[in-house]
Amino acid sequence: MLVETHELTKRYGRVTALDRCMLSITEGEIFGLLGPNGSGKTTLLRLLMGYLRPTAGSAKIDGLDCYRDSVAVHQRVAYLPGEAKLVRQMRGREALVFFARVRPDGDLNRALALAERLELDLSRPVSLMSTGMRQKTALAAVLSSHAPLLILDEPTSNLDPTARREVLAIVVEAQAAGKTVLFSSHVLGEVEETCARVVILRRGQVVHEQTMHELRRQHRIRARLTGPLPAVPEHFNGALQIFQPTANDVLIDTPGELAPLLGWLATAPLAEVRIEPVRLQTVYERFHGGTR
Amino acid sequence: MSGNSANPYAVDEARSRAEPTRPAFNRALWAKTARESCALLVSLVVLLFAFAWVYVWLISKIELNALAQFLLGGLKDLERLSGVPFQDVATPAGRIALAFIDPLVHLGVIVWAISRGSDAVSGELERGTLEMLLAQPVSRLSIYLSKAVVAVFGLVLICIALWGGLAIGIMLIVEDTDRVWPAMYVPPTINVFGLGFAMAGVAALVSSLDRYRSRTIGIMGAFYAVAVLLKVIARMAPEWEAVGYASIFWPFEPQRMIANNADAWRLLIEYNTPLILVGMLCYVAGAVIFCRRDLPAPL
Repeated sequence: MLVETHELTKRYGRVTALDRCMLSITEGEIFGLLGPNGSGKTTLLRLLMGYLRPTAGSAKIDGLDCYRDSVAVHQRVAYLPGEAKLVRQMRGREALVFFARVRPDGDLNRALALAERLELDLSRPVSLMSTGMRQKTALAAVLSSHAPLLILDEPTSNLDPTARREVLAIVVEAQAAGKTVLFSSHVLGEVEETCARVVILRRGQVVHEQTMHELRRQHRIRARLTGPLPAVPEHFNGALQIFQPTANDVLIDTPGELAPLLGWLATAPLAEVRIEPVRLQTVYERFHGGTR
Repeated sequence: MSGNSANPYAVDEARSRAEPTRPAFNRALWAKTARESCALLVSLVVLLFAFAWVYVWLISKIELNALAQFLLGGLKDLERLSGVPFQDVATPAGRIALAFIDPLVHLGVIVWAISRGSDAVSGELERGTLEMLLAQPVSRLSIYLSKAVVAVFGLVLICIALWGGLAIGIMLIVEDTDRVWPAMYVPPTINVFGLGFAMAGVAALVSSLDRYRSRTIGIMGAFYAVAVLLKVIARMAPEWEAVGYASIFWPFEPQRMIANNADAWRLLIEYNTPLILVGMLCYVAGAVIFCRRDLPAPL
């Protein structure tokens, strides 16, 4: 495991920002962190970066304790904070030069290539850059590193759609080159598109872990009930999730292959049946409100 | 996904597996810290050098007898405030020593000390730049040390500029070189350094506890005002002399080192020891706090 947390907990007085978080990320995967504001995503990332001392439990990267061995950990990690701020007196190019030089594994040529790809004007002083441009500059600095683990806290926030697409492409290329990527985002579509596995956090707790491979096998059936729903065949018991948002409507979530279910569906008093793949949005909304 | 140019990860991936080395001295970090301080440092060096030179020139225009009459006449009641008898001030060397307690010199040194000390931690935190900086393989201690060393080095340059201005002024303007020579102003200059070092240390300590630099500066402003007030009270009201020991300005007595020139180096050790100790203790305490504290997320 490249990243491993064990019962990782962070409390501020009576407030528990992260509660007994258990997480394992293997080398070479793109791992997503999902959750609304205040769910503990950033606290988790900051604990991994050694910015915060855990109240209980431990966090390790490449076998190193994230708090006690933070410098050694940072040699293995390139981190983009949620609010990436750069030295305002520097120009864009100077910022990239600084970050390339401050890291033993810094690579200015790669940073400049990324900046060009993100269509950055590097001659502009940081103080005169828009939020999106500053974000792109920070991304070019972070993504250029040769560190084997990329931790990106909402990397596409503040970016236009074209830059978003480009950043996601770069993330996928980084993974293809053997890097591990851990990123948090509010944009479920991009997480679904990019990640192999995600966890959903709620009030500081990991409430669900989902692999995209499993998700792609799942379907949701929406239909109008024309009569009472017959009993679910025994071999589906516990596997199907059935919701009735109103007396006349039914939602059925299937965890696996759809084919074995079709026979039972044909006998049920259903009309206006729609079968659609389950999206990450659907899974997310099971834990964070929203409409079914 | 688009990919309108070459994959930046396609080359040199072997490097990502190599164990990078960690230099003990991170040149980029130190250069950044120095650069952030450069404009203020150059301004203060030029200002204090020019001020000291001009001060010697201006003070040489005042007749000693007139100065003695002025001080020993209507201002006699304020003698306690100066810390030395006015008859020692109304000498060729004593009148130049007044430069060390001039508000401009005071403010110059204090502005540098508070500005650099306050920047140590809460400055980077308030600007939000600490996140990206600490994500690099540099320790918290090395970031703090770079700030402390630049603050101290800058203070040395400011003090050299102050002394240099006086020295050039003395060499070019003062005729009575038997009683006034540049080297006699070295101990008072080092006393000014001691005060600046102590203030920078206290500011760094407050900064290491804080998350807003503006608040750190506010606290240091209040600390400065209270310290000055305590010293004035202790000087002007002998029954309240004890409160003066609580002031960081208590061991700041550059004019005494000129009034008792034969004893200047002993006085310097006596006065500067507590100042240097306060500065060092505060810097060390600040480092310990910064290395152990949780870093709040930028707002």
